[in-house]
Amino acid sequence: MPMALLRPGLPGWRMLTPIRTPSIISKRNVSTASWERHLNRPIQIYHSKINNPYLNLSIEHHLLQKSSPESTILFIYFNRPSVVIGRNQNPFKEVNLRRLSKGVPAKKKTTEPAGPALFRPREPVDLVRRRSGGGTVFHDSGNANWCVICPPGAFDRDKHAEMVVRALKALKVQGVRVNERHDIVQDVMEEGELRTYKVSGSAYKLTRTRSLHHGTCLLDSMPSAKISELLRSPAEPFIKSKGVDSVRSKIRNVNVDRREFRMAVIDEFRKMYRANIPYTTLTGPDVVDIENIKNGFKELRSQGWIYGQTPQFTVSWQPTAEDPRPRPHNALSDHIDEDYVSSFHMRFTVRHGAINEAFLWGLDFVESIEDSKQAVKEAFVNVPVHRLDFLPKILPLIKHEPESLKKAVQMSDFLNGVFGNNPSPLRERYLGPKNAVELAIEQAMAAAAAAEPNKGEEEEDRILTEPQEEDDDDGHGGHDVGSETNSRELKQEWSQEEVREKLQELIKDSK
Amino acid sequence: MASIARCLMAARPSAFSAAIKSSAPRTIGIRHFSITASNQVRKYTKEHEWIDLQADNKTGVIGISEYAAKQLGDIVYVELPEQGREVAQGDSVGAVESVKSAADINAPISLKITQINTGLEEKPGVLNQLPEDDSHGGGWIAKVQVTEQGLKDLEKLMDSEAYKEFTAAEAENH
Repeated sequence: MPMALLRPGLPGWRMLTPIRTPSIISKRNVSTASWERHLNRPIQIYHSKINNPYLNLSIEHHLLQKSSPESTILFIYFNRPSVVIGRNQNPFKEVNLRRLSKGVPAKKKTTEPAGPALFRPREPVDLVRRRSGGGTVFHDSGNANWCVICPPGAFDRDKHAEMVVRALKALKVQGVRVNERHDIVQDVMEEGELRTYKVSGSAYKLTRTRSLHHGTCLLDSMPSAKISELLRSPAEPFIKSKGVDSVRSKIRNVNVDRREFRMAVIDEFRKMYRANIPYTTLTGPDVVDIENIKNGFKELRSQGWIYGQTPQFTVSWQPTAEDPRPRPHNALSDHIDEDYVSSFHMRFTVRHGAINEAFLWGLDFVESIEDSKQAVKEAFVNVPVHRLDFLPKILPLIKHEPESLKKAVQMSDFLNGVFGNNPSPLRERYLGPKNAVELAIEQAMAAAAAAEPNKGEEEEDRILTEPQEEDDDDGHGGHDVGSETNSRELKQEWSQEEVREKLQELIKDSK
Repeated sequence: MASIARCLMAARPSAFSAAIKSSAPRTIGIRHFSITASNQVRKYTKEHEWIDLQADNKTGVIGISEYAAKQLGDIVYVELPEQGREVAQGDSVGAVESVKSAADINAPISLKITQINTGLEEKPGVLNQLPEDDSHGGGWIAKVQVTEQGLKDLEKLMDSEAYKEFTAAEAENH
């Protein structure tokens, strides 16, 4: 590959035509070799056309781990709708998991006629735990991700946020600055007063040899009220957790076009590092074969990482000495009898995503007091809490009389709710038929499930093959001509079929 | 930890000068503990971890240096290693979070984790206050078993004098 000829600064480097991979060389080798060359350059700029959050974060991690220690890298990407929590956060506390599982209205295409969002098809939302610190954010195609990786000696919490501020100013966005929390905020005059909104949040990952600063930038994301709903857990008043809590901020979009933002940030980065170099566009085939990226992807998608990495926490029914907050029981389940609110007790400690200590009281247990306490422990200790239906676990422990069953159902409704799971499908059997509204919802959900016969496969399809909307990458801009040549070098002519096959393998392994 | 130690200096010149001062005669935290007791030797890495080797040459305690703890700023969470895990020198054995940053803690030598300081999960701030205290209630990270390779690794680490010079030089470079 005559990449050396493409060195920026050489006269005529723009004139070179893209070079096709000779078919005689295996794709994998070319790809790996080409990655290595890229990763050894002193200044590197990448832009991902992938919108899978797990994959983009794994590319980012690959760049952090495998780039030459002295290099400085800019990486820009956009994710499909996802809630991204910080490394040491509690998803049950930070995220409304039930709402998350219902998805968000699909984003309006610019070409589409106006219509109310209610009738818009819904898009799934991914739950992602990133490797860096900090709080929870919502990503979608309207929230840009920018990332700068540099040697630790050059690291500073503000300097790259300042770079993005300069990019926004170049795009005529007014009143933006970096605040004391290293976030980018915008001061806006509204109703005669100056109000400050967060438009970008920062997080960092520091290793022995490298430091990574990544941040978001709200360009044209979902309305803030909708984001706020997703990021407000009804279980929060019941959870006392170690680890890191999010800090709520009023947010706002800067209303900048995705491509313009990308180019402005790239320009500022080039100026900052005095490197007039082309950027490289990454697509699915460029990354799906890289072992380190595959492993990172599998780890990020694993339940052990998403839920198991949660710092230890305790859920308790009643206010306690350590956690005296009032408990709004009805926020979590349809209905809890008032008598039960005072007669029930429960306290679960969850460590590494599984129950560590379990105490349940107020149910009509079959056994004596001491035996029941033991039976509760046996039923729950070491059981992972995500996707756990509590009712079938409680039923063997209690008397099967109408009142006793009612108690068990109400307790399990609550517990399923705390951990973001739906009410038990068994509850009906013990409580008689549901009311009309409940039935209608259930039927609608069943119909929706039937419409997607194989959810697993659908997920695979979404991974890489989904195109990024209206994102032309033709590099019209002054410095971008090289981008085409560069990206060609990484990009191989793979059929959709091949990409899909690769993905299926990957998903199968990660399960 | 090197990365964090460096990074904050540019941002917080006050912390920087405080660190230089502190690396002068007073290397010890608020509480009394011994770093040069006859039965153990404390060694430091360039990444600002420390290890005490006990007289038996088989067991030890690891932690992060006072210098690093100062630079980190407010530590809000300490991710501890798994008990029983065996790691090579430089491998990550946990992480700390401060100011939205997740920073790795690396094994100063090849070792096996035998006990973790669970008190740090409850009170991560102890790591800021008493990072080099290996007693009960202190900010030590883990008790370890030292492997044969670990003993070899140890030879390359700095003693407290050399580490003091190293941090002073590192501070000057910024």
